Parts: sequence; structure tokens; C-alpha cells
Amino acid sequence: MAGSLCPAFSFLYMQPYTSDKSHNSTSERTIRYIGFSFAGLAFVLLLVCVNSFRIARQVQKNYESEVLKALNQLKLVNTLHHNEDLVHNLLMSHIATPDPSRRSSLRAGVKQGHEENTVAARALSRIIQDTPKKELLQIIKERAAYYSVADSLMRLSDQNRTAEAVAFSEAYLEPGHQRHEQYLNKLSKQVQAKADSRLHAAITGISSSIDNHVYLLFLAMASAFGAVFIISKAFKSMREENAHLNVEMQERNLLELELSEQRREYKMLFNRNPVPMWVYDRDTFRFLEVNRAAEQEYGYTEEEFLQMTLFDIRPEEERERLLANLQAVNRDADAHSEGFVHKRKDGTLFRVEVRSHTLPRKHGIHPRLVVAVNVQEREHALEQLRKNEKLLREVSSSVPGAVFQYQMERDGSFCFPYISEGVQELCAVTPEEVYRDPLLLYRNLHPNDLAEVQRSTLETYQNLTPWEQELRVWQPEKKKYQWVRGHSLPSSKGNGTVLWNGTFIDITKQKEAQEELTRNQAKLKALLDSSLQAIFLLDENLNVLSFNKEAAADVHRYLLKELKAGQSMVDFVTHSQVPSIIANHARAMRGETVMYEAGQGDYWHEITYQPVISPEQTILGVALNIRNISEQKKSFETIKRNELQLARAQQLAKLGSWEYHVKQDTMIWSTGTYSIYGLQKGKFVPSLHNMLARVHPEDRRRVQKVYGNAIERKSMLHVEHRIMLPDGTAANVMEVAEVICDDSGEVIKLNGTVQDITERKKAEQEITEAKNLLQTTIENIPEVIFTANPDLTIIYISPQCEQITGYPEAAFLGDAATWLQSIHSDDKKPMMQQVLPAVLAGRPQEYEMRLLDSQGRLRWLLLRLSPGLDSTGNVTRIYGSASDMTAYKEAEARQQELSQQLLKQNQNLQQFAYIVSHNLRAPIANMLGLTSIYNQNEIGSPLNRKVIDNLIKSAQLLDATIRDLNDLLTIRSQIGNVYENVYFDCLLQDVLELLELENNTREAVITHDFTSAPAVRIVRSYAQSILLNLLSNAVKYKSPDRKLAISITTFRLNGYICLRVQDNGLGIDLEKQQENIFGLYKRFHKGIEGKGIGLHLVKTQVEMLEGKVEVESEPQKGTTFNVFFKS
Amino acid sequence: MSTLKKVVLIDDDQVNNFVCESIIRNEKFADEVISFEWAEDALQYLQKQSDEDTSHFPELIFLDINMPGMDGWSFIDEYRKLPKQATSSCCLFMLSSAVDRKDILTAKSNDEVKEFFSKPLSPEILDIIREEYISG
Repeated sequence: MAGSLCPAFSFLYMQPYTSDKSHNSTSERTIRYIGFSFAGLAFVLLLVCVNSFRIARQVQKNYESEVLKALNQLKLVNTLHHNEDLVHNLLMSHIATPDPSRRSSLRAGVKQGHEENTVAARALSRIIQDTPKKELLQIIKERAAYYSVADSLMRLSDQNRTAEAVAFSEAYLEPGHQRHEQYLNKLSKQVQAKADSRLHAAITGISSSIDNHVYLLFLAMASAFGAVFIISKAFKSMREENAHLNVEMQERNLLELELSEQRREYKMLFNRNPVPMWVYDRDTFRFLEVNRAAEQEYGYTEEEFLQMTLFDIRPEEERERLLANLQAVNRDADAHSEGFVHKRKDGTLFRVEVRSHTLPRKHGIHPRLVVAVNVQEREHALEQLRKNEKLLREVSSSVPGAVFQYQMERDGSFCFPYISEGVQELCAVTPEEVYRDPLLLYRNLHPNDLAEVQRSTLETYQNLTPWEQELRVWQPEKKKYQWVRGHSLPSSKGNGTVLWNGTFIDITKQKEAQEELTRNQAKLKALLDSSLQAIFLLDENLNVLSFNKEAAADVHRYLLKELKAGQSMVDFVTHSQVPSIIANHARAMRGETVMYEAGQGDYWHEITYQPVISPEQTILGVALNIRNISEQKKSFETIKRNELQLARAQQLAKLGSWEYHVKQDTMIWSTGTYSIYGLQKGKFVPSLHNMLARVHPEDRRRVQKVYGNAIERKSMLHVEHRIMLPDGTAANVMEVAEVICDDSGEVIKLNGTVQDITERKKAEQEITEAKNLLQTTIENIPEVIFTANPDLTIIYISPQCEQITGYPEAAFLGDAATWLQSIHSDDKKPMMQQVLPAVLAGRPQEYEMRLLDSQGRLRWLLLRLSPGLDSTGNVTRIYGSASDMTAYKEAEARQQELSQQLLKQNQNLQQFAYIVSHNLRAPIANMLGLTSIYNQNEIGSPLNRKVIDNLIKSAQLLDATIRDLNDLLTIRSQIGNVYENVYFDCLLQDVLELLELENNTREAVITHDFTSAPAVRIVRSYAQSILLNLLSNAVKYKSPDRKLAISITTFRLNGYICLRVQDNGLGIDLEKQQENIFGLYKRFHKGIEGKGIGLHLVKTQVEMLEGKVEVESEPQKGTTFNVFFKS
Repeated sequence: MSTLKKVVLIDDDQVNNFVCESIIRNEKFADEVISFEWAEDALQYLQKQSDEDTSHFPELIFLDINMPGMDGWSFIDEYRKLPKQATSSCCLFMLSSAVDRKDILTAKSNDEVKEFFSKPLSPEILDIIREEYISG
């Protein structure tokens, strides 16, 4: 307020001050200073300007005249120059020209040039001074010489002495001219130099004038600075004065303000004073001013008062006394007078006590302030009091209890100047008896109290403090002590005498009540103390009236303070809690019960502010209960946490619970249930109807029915259905609920849980799909998949088994013996003894085995077995697969056969090549050797004959060999092979005919039997050759010890027709010769002719016919050849 | 005086044996040439010689490969079993009409076989034998 006022004041009083400034001597002086300084500045500047203009002007003039002079001089010098050249030229042409007329004109020209030059030189000499002047004089002198030479030259020329003239010219004129020119040049240079020096002087003059200007400018600047300094100084002093003045103004204003305030206060004091006051003129006794109290008291208005004098408010009889009194009063002293009677407007009179006081003289008037106190009422009141006292005295005798006056002297003697009748009842003594013997009053006093009474009486006597005591007085009639409360006020009578005025009041009932109350309070206190809550009873000012033990203990425990009644509760709480305590206390004081919990962490209190209400319904105080609820809170928190955990668990399990109260048709959902339904608590009111609305439309009727059934039959509810989520997707839920019945068996409610099984459903579906996929896969792979128990009973086998084995699935399931039977006998043993034990020992196995299918055909199976182990490593299952590899095996066999055949053929070919090279080369080598030993010198020698014989032999052998080879190659080339049905008996007949040419045939017994296979589709020539070779072989290697017997039979075997030729000949040691028996040029027997080609031919031909030949033989027993033809 | 005392020929080819005998005689290569058409017979003879007196054991043998019954390789297997004091001073040469590489390689890998020669036997071959195997 003051802050905002101050600037307002300063602002207000600033204005008049600034307007005053123009009249201020300081400011005038300042302005004058400024004026002076500016005038000085202007003067200096003007001076500088004028001076500079003048100097510049002068410099300009000098410069111009110098330039002009130099130009003139140069011009004249040039003219001289020019004329000299001209003259010289004219002279030259004068010499050169023979024409006399022309010579005269030239002479005139020379003369004219001479005159012109003379004028120019004269003009020049006028304006040139100093050094050039000297030069010029030199030139003029030179010129005079030059022209005399020119004259003599011209004369020579006129006389036509040209040669002489030329020589003269060269001797005198030319040097003269040159010298002349040199002088001229020198002159012109000097003139220029002179002009330059002059110009330089002019420029120096300008710069010096500029320097002068700088000084002037500096001066001007200095004077400007001076002016600025003076101005700033003036401003500074002005500012200071301004501030000073401001302060003064403020002070003055403040004083004025104070003064007016005081006046106003006085005025108020005067006007509002409840005591009638006025101011009158001491000379005229006229009222000058009256206050409102006076107006009210006297009934006149202010205007009326101001028309009246002091005498108008007095009765007639008092006026003279007043006048005398007024005159007697010291004019300036204060006066005080009693016993005056004043008159009101309505004529009533009243007594006043008047005080007057002279006020300072003003405008020639001597005012005096009068205060008139109406004492009429006070006196009246005193009168009334006296009357009341009298009445009281009368009444006091009738009140219960006694009124007494007790007086004690300095020496300790005492008496009862007055005691009312009541004392009889209280103390069983009459007032008269007390008056007689005051000690009587102590007679019935309780001994314990007597001493106390004496002590306290003495104390109050000495200190003059009120005496107050509760006493027990024996009642002889009632035979008991009565409680009396004595209360008296002492007053000193002087001379050590003290008088007590007091009362005795029977307070027995009160006392009893109080005792009762105390007892009750004690009980209450005990009760409160037994409470575990801290209880404080607070009064309306927050002071502790009472508290229980727990409260004290609490305070002691937490604050280490002693709790005492009467302390403020505020002292026992922290700063921050004070406002809340005050607020809550205030609320309780308004009759409200405030209850809240406070605390943190593990410490929690329940705080209750409860108004304490009296039976009259007024609020006496506030009971503050502080209950330690840490434990409760903790357990509550635990419950809450458990609930939360449950809720979380439900959420995790996507589980929710619900209750359906059948009668009320209400539902309560847990949080989990809400989240399953995708709904928010509070935004959805669960009921059976609402819940059903969320069920998938296709499931709704069913679910409703299930609920109905459960309630009707009081049975467990179990249903899986779909629900529609708010986002439009469906979820699968499973609900289980039990029905709760009351004692009478009536259904009260359903307690249920709901679980989101969408994912489970999905997983189930996925598993089913996976299983189906797996099954389809298993059933469609071209292998038999099976699972067996360790005892080999098959528990699952894929349907492929029928395709591979021809047996249906059922044939394998069950007893293991059934399927083990079908295993090929050769494979069964290793299977049972090696493979299966290995699998049962935990090692996976692969085994190729044969199985007889339902049609008795052999099937090759690749059996793969792997053990299924449990956690302890025991085999609990055998998983197996069997792939059909019959076709593979057959192909493999074919392949093997083929490659063997190829190998053999290759071998044969190699052998053939070898044999051919050997057998062809052998005779040739022989022939070569023979020819080398042939004795040419002695043709008829015996050796030569032998050589010739051997040569013939070798040549024949060579020829035979080539023939054989040709045959072989023909056979192998298969050219012209025609297959036809050949009958074995015809064939044998032909062969025997061929063999009959041989001698040994007759000695052999040949038997034959072709009934089993009489014919074969074959190449006839081959068949003939084969039989011929076999028979001739038999004949060739017959045993010399016995007659040859040959048996020829045919039979069918495995798709072949076999021709068997059996003999009883020499036989072959097959162990040694097995490989070579059919080899080309292989022979086994000494001394028997043979090329070793017959059997080779047989084999070759048989192979060509896609057949085979086998041999069984035993030396000295015979040989059997079995030839197999393809049938 | 001939180069050697006794040479044995083993070949089923009589013509070859005749040629060989003639050349050996002409060249005065050996005092005695004995021919066998069957290797079995030759083996029997050699066993007999080694048993009786090693000085009668031939100093040189020409052996054919391709023969009925026991062939050249089988003969060598048996020959190896003969007493070393008999065989150590005897040079065994293969003499075959075949020009097969395989035979030549087999012969060379065989310790008993000194060298392989192609038929027909010639004075030049005898010269080589003389130079390389006998004179040293």
C-alpha cells in the first residue's frame, strides 16, 4: 500500500517543482552559460571561415599570375626558336639558289625573321629576370654575331661565289647556328625551372595556410569542448538541486498529511465521543462546536446549539452561580466542577460533572472545551445498588448455605461479625452461638481440614488473597461428614484488621457427584488405557484435555516427550501435519467425524477425529484416535497383493471367475473375466442376458440351455463355446461352474470360472492337422513304417505293408510270431540273433532281408530299426521302416551278372588277342629261324631237308590257325544267324555221320535220351558245331584203359534246355585247369593231337546263343558237359 | 671247345627246338643241347640233375611261356623250389613267340628270369648272352 502510494506522491509533487525551475536563479545562470559558450563557439567558427577564405583567395591569385608569366616566357622562347630555324633555312636556300630574284626575296625573308626575333628578344628581356636574363643577353650577343656572318654569307652568295659561300657557311654559320640553338634551349629550360620553383612556392603557401587552418580548427574544437564541459556542469548542479528540493517537498507533504490526519482524528475523537462535549467562546459564552453525544443528551440539533449560549442549558436559578463560577475560573487553567444541574430541550434536568479546558486562541476567539458527564444515572445506579444490597441481605438468610463476615485482628483473635441462618444447617450451630464463640464453628470440622483452614486463613490474611476451601463438617444428626465449600474475599480494615465476606455452601451432592465422576473418569481412563489406540481428547483450541496410556506411550516412543494435559496437540506433530490437524479438528468441531489413514511403508495409522458431544448436543471437544493399523494394513496389503497376484495369475492363465446370483439375476465378474471378454470394468454390467449377448450367435442357444440345465438339475456346469470380442473376432472359452444351494436345497448361485482356450483350441487344431499331415505322409511314402513293443509285437504299421507284402495291416498287428514267420529262413537267424538284440540294446540297425509275400514270392526289404528310449535309457519302443528293394536287388543282380559277363568277355578278348598274336607269330618265327639255318652252300645237306620239312609244317600250321581264327571271328560276328527249331535226335544223327569218318567211333557206346526236351530254338550250325566238338573231344580224350561210353541227354531247368554230354574218358583236373578249360589253344593232354580250339568254340557259340556251359570232371573218371540253351 | 657245356630248351614247338639246336650247334654255343616239349618233363629232368650232381645241371635254359599243361610261369614257380646251389649257376631266359608287353613285364619282374627274348633265336642273341652273362 505504502509502496504504491509513494511514487504517486512523488509524481504529484514533481510537476510543480519542474514548473518552478524556469524562475530559479540557477537555471537562468545555466542558460546564460550555455548561451555564452555557444556564442563563443559561433564566433570562433566564423573567424576560421573568413580567414581561410581570404588565404585561399590570395593563393589562387598568386598561382594564376605565376602560371601566366611562365606561359608568356615560354611562348616567346618558342617564337625565337622558330624564327632562328626559319632564318637558317632561308640562308641555306639562299646559298643554294642561283636565281638572283629569288635570292633577294630570301634576303628579305631573313631580314624579316631577324627583326621579328629582335622584337621577341626584347619582349623577353623585359619579363625575364635573374639567371635566364643572363642567358638571354648571351643569346642576343650571339645573334648579332650570327647575323653579321649571315650578311657576309649572303654577300658571297650574291656574287655567285657559291663554293666559297658553302665553305663559309660550314665554317662559321653552322657552328653559330648550333650555338645559338643551344643557348635557346638552355634559356627555355631555365625559364621552365624558374616557373616550377615559383609554382612550388605557391603550393607551399597553400599547405602552410592549411596548417594554419588546423590550428584554428583545433582552437574551435577546444572551445566546443569547453562549452560542453560548462553545460554538463550546469546540468549536474541543476539535477542535484532538483533532488534536494524534491526531498524537502516530500517531507513537507508528509507533515501536512500527518497534520490533517491528526485533525481528523481529533475531530473524530470529539464527534464520536460518547461523553457530551462542546467548545464555547469564553467571551460571549456562545457554543462554537458540539459533538453528537451532546446533541443526543441535550436534544438540540447542532444548528440550534450554535445559536445558544451556555446559559441556555441551565435552569434559571443556576445562571447566576454559573456566571460567578465562570468568572472565577482561571482563564487558562483546567476546571472541574460537580453538582451542576443542566436542562435538556424538553425541560428535564439532570446532574452533571463538568470539566473544561482552554483551547489555543484562534482568530481572536478564546475557545474552551467543555466535557459534561451526566452523573444522574450513576447516582441513580448507586441508589439502586444500595437497595439491592438490602434485599440481598434479606435473601441471603433464606438461601442454602451461609453468608458470613469474618474478622481477624493482628493478634490472631477473630470473630464473625455476621453469619446467616444457614450456618445452622451446615455446621449445626446457630448464628448466635457463633457470635458468642467463634470456635464453635470449628468444633465439627474434620480434623484433617482444621489445620488446613488455619493455615489458609493465615495465608489469605497475609496476602489478602481470596480464601477458598472445601471442608468436611460432621453432621451429628446425619452421622456423617458433609462437604462445605467456603469462599470469601478479604479486605483490609487497617491496623492489621482484615474482614472477609464470604459464603459457605453445601457441596456434598456436588462432591459426591464429582467423586462419582472421578470414579467414572478413572474407569473411563482405565478403559481408554486398555485400548490399543492412542486417544487424545482435545478442546476447541487443540489443547490436550486428556489422553490414554497408549497415547502417552506413543508420544514418548516417537517424540521422546512427556505428554501432559493442557499441551497443544500441535506440539506433537510435525510441521507439515499442522494444517491438516487444524483443518480436521475444525471439521470435528463442527460435528463431523473425520477418519483417514496416514503413514508410509510398513507404518500406517488410522486417525479419527470425533466430536465429543454433550448431552445438550453441544460440541465439547474432539477425541483424536490414532490406531496403529500397520499390521492390519500389512495384512490388507498382503490380501490385496494376493488378490492382485491371483488376478495376474488369472490373466496369465487367461482365467476368470464369475458368480451368478440366480435369484437376483446378477453376475459378478473378476478382472480376468473382463479381460477374456475384452471388456472394461465399469463400462459393462455383467448379467446373464448381457453375457449371452456376447456369446457367439451359433453357440448362444446351447449355452443358455447348459446354464438352464445346471440350475435345474443342480449339477456341475461345463461348457465350451465361442464368444465375440469387441473387435469382432471370436474366442473360445471353457466355462466350469458349480451350483451352490442353500439349506433348503434351493439354488442360490453359480460359482464359475471361465478360461480362454482359443490358443489351446488352435494348438489342438494344429496338432490334429500335424498328425493328419504326418499320417498322410507316413501312409503315402513307399515304405512300411511300423512301431513295435520290445517284445516285437507290432502296435502300428502303415498301410503300405499291404502293397509291399501283400498282407493287410491286421496280419502284422498282435502276435510277433506271425510276421516273423514270413521272414526268409536264411535271414531269420541273423535277424533274431544279431539285429534285434542290437536294437534292444539301444543301437539303430539296418538289415537287408528277404520276406515271403502273401503269394510266396520273395521280396527284398531294407529294414531300418531304431530304438525308442525312455528317460532311463531303456528301450520302450522299436521304430522301424521297411523299404521294398526287391526291384533294386533284382536290378543289382542283373547288373552284377552283366558286369561279370562283360568282364569275362573282356578277358576272353584279351586272351584271344594274346593267343592270336602268339599262335600266329609262332609259325612265322619258326619259319624265320629255319631260313636262318638253311645251308645255302650245301643244298643237299641233311639239315636242309629237315629245314624244308619244318618250313612246310610251319606254313601249314599258320594256315590252319588263320582258318580257325576266321571261323571264330565268323561265329562272333553272328553273321547269318538264323534261329530255327532243331531236334536233338536229327542233330545227333548228323554229327555221328560226320564223326563216323573217324576210326574210334565204333569202339564207343553212345546212348541218348531227348524225351524231356526234344527240340530247341537255335542256330543249327552252332548246335551242330557244339555237339560235334563235345563228342570229338570225348573221343579224343578217351581213356586208353576202357571202352568209351558217351551219354547224351536233354532236360529243362529254370527256363533253360540243358544238353548234357557225359563220357568216361581221361577227365580234367578241374582244380588246376578250371580257368583254362575253355581257353583258346589250351591243351591238357600230352601225346594227343589238339589245337586247343574245340572247347573254346563250344563256349563261344553257347554264349552267342545266350546260353552257358558248365563242366564237371574228375581225372581218370570222365567228364560231363552241361550246355544250357535258352528255351 | 664250346662256350657252355649244357643248354636246356623247354618249348612245345618242335620246330623251334630244331631251329634252336641247329643255331646253338652252329655257333658252338654249347656242347650239349637238350630239348623238352613239356615243361613237366623238363622239371623232372632238372630235379634229377640237382639231386645227383650239380655239375650236370645246365648252365642255361631257354623257356617258352605258352605251353599246354604246365606253362612257363608255372615252371618258374617250380624251378624256384630247386636247390639253390644248382640253380644259382644257371641262367634262365624266356624265349617266346609272343610280343605281349604283359609277358615281358612279368618276365622282367621275375628274379629267376635273366632276360626275355623273342623268337626266333639268332646268333646275335647268343652273342648278347655270351657278352653279358657268361664272359663276366
